[in-house]
Amino acid sequence: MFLKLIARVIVTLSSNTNPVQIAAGVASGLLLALLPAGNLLWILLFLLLFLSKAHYGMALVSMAVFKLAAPAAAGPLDALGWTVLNAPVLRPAFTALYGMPVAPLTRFNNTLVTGGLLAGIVLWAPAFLAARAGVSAYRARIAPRIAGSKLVTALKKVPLVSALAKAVGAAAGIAGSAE
Amino acid sequence: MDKNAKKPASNATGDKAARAAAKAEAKSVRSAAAAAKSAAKEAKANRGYVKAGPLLGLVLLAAGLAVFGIFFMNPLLESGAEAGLEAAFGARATVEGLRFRPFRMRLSVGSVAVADAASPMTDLFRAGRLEFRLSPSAVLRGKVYIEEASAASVELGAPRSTSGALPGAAEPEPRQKRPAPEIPALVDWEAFDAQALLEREKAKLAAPAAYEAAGRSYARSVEEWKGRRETSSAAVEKARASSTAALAIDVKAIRTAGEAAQALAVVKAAAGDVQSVGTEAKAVAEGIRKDTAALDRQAKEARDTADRDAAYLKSLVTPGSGAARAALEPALRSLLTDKGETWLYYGGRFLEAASRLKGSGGGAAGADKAGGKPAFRGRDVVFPGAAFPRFRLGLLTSSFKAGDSAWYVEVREVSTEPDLVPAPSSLKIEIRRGGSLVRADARADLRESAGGSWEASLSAAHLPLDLGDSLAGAGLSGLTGILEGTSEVRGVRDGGFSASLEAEVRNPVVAAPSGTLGKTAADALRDAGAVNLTAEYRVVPGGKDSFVLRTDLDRIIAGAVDAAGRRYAAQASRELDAALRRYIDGELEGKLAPKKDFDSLFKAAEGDAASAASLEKSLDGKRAEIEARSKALGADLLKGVTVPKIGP
Repeated sequence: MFLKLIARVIVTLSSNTNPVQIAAGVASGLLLALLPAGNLLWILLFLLLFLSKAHYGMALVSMAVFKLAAPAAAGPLDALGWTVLNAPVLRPAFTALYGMPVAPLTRFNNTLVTGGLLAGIVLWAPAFLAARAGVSAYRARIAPRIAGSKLVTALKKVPLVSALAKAVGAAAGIAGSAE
Repeated sequence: MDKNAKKPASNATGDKAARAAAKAEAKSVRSAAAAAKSAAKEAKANRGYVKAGPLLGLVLLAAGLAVFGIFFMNPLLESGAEAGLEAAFGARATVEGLRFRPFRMRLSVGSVAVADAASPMTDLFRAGRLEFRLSPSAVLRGKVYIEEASAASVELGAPRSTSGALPGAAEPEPRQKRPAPEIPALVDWEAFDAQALLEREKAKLAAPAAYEAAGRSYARSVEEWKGRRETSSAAVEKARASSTAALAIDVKAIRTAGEAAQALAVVKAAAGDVQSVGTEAKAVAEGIRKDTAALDRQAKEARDTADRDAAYLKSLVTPGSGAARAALEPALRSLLTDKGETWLYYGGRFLEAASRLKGSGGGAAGADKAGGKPAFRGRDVVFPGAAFPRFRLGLLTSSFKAGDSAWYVEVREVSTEPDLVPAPSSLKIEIRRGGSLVRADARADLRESAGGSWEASLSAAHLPLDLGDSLAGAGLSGLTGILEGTSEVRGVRDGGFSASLEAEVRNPVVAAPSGTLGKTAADALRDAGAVNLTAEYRVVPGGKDSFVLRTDLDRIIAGAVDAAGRRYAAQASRELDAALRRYIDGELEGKLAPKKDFDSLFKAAEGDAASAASLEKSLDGKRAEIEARSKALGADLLKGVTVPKIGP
C-alpha cells in the first residue's frame, strides 16, 4: 500500500500530469495539515480539494507529511490565532460572525483553527510556486540524471527498490492503459 | 516482358528493406498519433477546475450518509446522551427509545434512568416519556438548546436491580445514618425518685470529670515537688549540722587576733553553705505556693460545676425551665433534619451535576480556557455576542400522579455556561394530596457574578403531621396535628448553608400520653389549639453545626402545670439537692484527697525555708559577735602607742 503510494507519486511526478495540479495539491495539503480537523471549515476545504483539479494523491501525501510537523508549529499557530482573534479592530467582525448561524461550526474562534487557516493561506502561494518549480526541475533535469546514475542502477538490485520499481512499472502500466 | 521472369536479387532485397522502413514509419506514425491522442485526452481532462467523477462520488457519499443517519442516528444519539448523563452525574445512565426528527427539531425519549453515584443500587431519578423541542438556531451554531421539554413522570430514589456504579469508579462512602436521638425522659412527679433520677443523669453530669481532673492535678503537683522538697530539707538539716561547730564558738574565749580571724573564717564558711541551702528552700516554698493558687482555683471550679449540675437536675423537675424543650428538641431536630436532609441530598446532587455541566463549558467571554498555557488543541475565544451556551435546557416540566399525590416538577435554565443565560437555574416542585400542598422552590445561581450561591424555600399548607413514637420518651406518644409553615435555606458553593423554619402545628393531639407531665402536656396542647415553633440550622464546612429551636411548648406546659407542678417541683428539687450533695460528699470530694498531701508538702517546704532563714540569722549574729571581739582585741593592742605626726 505504502509502496504503491510512493510509486504513484513517482509516476505522477514523471507523467504528463500538469505541474500546476501537482503544485496545487502540495499547497492544499499544507493548508489542510495546518488546520485542525473536525470542524466545518476543514471539511469544506477538503471537499473543495476533492472537487477541484488539484492533484488529490499529492495533496494527501503532502498533508500526511506536513501533519507530522504540525505539532511543532502548534505554539506559533496558537499565538497567531490568539493575536488575531483578540485584535480590537477585528473583534466586532468576529463577534458578528460568532452570532451568525453555521459560522460557529467552523470553530473559527479556536486559536489553532484561525492561526492554521491564516498561516495556510499565506503559505499556499509560496508552496504552490515552489512545488511547481520543483516538478518542472525534476522532470527536466533530475529524473533523467537519476535514471542513468550508477547509484540508481546499484539500488535497483536492492529487493525493496526493485519492488518499488515494479510497482512504478505497474502504476505506469495502469496509467498507460487508462490513457 | 515476361511477368514471371525472375527479378534480380538486389532489387528484391531493396524492396524488402523499403517495405520494412515503410512499416516502421507507419508504426511510428501510429505511435505518435496515439501519443498525441493521449496527450490531447489528458489535456482535455486537465481543462476546467472541477472533476465530474468526484462530484458524483460526493453525491453518492451524501446519499450514503443520509441512509446511515436514518438507520443509525438514533442509536448513536442514544449512546451520546447516555455518555453525557454519565459524565454529568458520575453514574450509569440508561436512555431508551430515543427518536430525533431533525426537520422538526423534536426529540423524544421513551425513558431515562440515572443511577445515584453515592448509592449505586438506587436511581437518583427516573423519568418517563420525555419530549424535547430544540432550537434550530442554536443547532446551526453547533449548540444544543432545549427550549422546552416535558416528562410524563419523575421518580426519585427508586431501587435498581443492578449496580449503577461506573466501571472503575471509586467505591462510594455509605451515607451516614444519623443515630436515633436520645430523648431525656420527662420526670413523672407522682412517682418521683431523686436517687433514680440522679443515677439516670449521672453520665451527663460534668462534676465527676472536674473533680477527677482537680484531684489528678494535686497528685501531679505533689509528685513534682516531693523529691525536690526532700532534697532541700536534707540540705537544710546538713547545713544545720555543719553549722553547729560555728555556732558553738565561745567568743569570749578568743584572746588573739589570729584566733578571731580563724573563728570568723569558720563562721563565714558555715554562713555561705546555709545561704545557698536557704535560697533553694525558699524557691521550693515559693513554687509550691504558686501551684497552690492554681490548684485551689481548679478545685473551686470543680465545686462550681457540681453546683451547675445541681441546677441542671433541678431544672428537670421545674416547670417552665426549658426541660420540655430540652426533651423534645432532639426528636424534633432529628425529624426536621431527616426530612430536610433528604431534600438537601437531592438538591446537592443536582447542584453537583449542574456544576459539573458548568465545568464542561467553554468559560466566560474572552476567557482563556486553557488557563494561559497554549495547548495543542488550541484555545477557544468566546465572543460576548454569543447567545447560546454549548448546552442549555430552557424549561423542563412534568406533571404526573404518584399514588394519591399529584406532582408538578419544573426545571429551568440548566446550562454549561450559566453566565450566558439570563436567569439562574431553578427547580420547582409542588405536591398536592387531598387538601394539603407542599411547595419547594430552589434557585442555584452558578454565574460568576453570583459566586455560586443557592437558595430554596419550602412551604407546607394543611399538611397532616404524625410524629408517631418520636416523642414517646417525653410521654407524648402519637402526637398528630396539621402543619402550616415555611422554610428558607440559603447556601454557597463550598457546602455551608443556613436554614430557618417557621411553623405552626394546629390541632395537636397526643394519642397515648404517659407520665404526669405527658398527660398534663397532652391536655395543655389540646386546649392551646396550636404550637408555634421556629428553628434555625446552620452548617459551616469544617466547623460545628448549630441548631436552635424555639417553641412555645414550655410556656404551654408550664402554664398548665403551674399550680400542681410547683408544689411537686419544690419537694422534688429538695430531694434531688440532698441526693446530689450525698453523691458529691461521698464520691467526688474523695477525689480531692491528694490536696491534703499537697498542703502538708507546702507546710513542710515553708518549714524548711523558715529553718534555713533562722540558721542564717544565727550565723550572722555569731559573725557580728566575732567581728566585735576582733575589733576590741585590736584596740587593746594599740593602747600606749604614739602615732608619729606626718607632714610639716
